[in-house]
Amino acid sequence: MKAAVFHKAGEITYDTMPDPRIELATDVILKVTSTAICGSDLHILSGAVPQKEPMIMGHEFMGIVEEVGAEVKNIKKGDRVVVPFPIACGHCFFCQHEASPACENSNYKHYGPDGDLLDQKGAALFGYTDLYGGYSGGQAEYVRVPYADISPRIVPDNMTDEQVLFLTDIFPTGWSAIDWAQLKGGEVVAIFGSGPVGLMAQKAAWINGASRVIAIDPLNYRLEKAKAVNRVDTLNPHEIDVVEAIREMTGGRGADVCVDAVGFEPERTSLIK
Amino acid sequence: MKVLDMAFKAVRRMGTVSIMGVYGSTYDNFPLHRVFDKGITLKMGQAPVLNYIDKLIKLVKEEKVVLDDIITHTLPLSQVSHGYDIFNNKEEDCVKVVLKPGS
Repeated sequence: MKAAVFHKAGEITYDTMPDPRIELATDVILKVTSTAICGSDLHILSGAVPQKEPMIMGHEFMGIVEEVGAEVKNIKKGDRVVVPFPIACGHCFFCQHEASPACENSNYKHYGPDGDLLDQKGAALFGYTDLYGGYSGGQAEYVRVPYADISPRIVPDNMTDEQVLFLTDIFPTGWSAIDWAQLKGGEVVAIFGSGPVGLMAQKAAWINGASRVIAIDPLNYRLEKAKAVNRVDTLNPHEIDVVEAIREMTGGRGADVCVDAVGFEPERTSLIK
Repeated sequence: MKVLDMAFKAVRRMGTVSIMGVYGSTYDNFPLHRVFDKGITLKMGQAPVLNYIDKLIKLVKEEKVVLDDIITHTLPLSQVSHGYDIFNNKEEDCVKVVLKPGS
C-alpha cells in the first residue's frame, strides 16, 4: 500500500509500505478515506520528537472497516468510523478512571510513571514514534487499529468525512482546554495560537458560554481565518502589546481564561518578539 | 516574549491557563512566582478524548458546531510532502491540510 513515511528529520515522503494485517484478535484494519496533518506531526518532521526507523505518520484519520479481528464486538466490516488519536486498552486502571491518555497497556515499550524526556511516556498514539508505542499511523491507504472495541466511533452516513474528521484529535483537544477551565458563562477567553487547535478551542469557548473570545497569532491570515469562521476578536503580537490589549478589554484585570495552543517549538521563532 | 509568559501575564488573578500546545522539553526561568502570586490554575496534557467523544459527535450531528470550515487544502495522499511543506512553512495561507488516500 501507499503511505506517508517519515525517514529522517525534514523528510516525509509518499512510499510503498507493507499492508497492515490483523495481529491481535481485538484489532481491525481500516481502509482510510480521509486523514489530516496535525501541528504535532511537525514535531516529528523537525526531529524534536525523535524517530530512528521509518514510520507511517498520522493520528487524525477515519475510514471504512475492512477486516475484523475475532474478538471485536462493537464494530463490523463496512462500518464507517472515526478513530481518536490516543490508543487505549479500555480496561487498565487509568482507562477505568476516565484517564485514557495514561493507558498502561497500549505503549508497552516506553510507558512509565516518570514522564522523562525520552522514556516513560503515557499511552500510545497512532503514528507518533517508538516513544509512543511505535504504531503505524493513518496517513496511509490502510491502518491497523488495536483495541477496536474501545475508541473507534461509528459516524452518521449523511455526514461528510470533512464534517467529522476533526473529532479524532483537534476538536476534542481544543475542547479539553476549555473544559478544564470550567466556564460558568460570561468569561473572556484569550487563545494564544490560531492554528487548527486554537480555532477549535475558539469554537469550544463559544459553545461553553464565553462572552468574548480573543485570538492571538503573529500571522494575519490566520487571524483573518479566525474572524471569518469563529467571529472572534484578534490581536497580532507583532503589531500590539497583547498583554496590555487584553487588560484594556477586561477592566485592567486580564482574561478569565488563557489557552496556550502553540507549544514548545514555535516559541523559538515566530511568537518571540 | 514566550507564549506562556504572555498567558500568565494576560490572565486575571485566580484565572485558569490551559496548555494544549505540546511541550516536549524543559523550560528555563519558569515564572512560578507569578503563577503562585496570581493564584493561577494550570491545566495541561493530552486531551482525554474518550471522555468527550460521544458528546462532541452529538454536537456535530445536531449542527451545534461546524468543524470543516478550517480546512484550507485538500490534497491526494500522493502529495503529502507538499502538504507538510506548506503547513510547516505556513505558505499558501495554509491552516489545515486534509489528505485523500487512493488518489
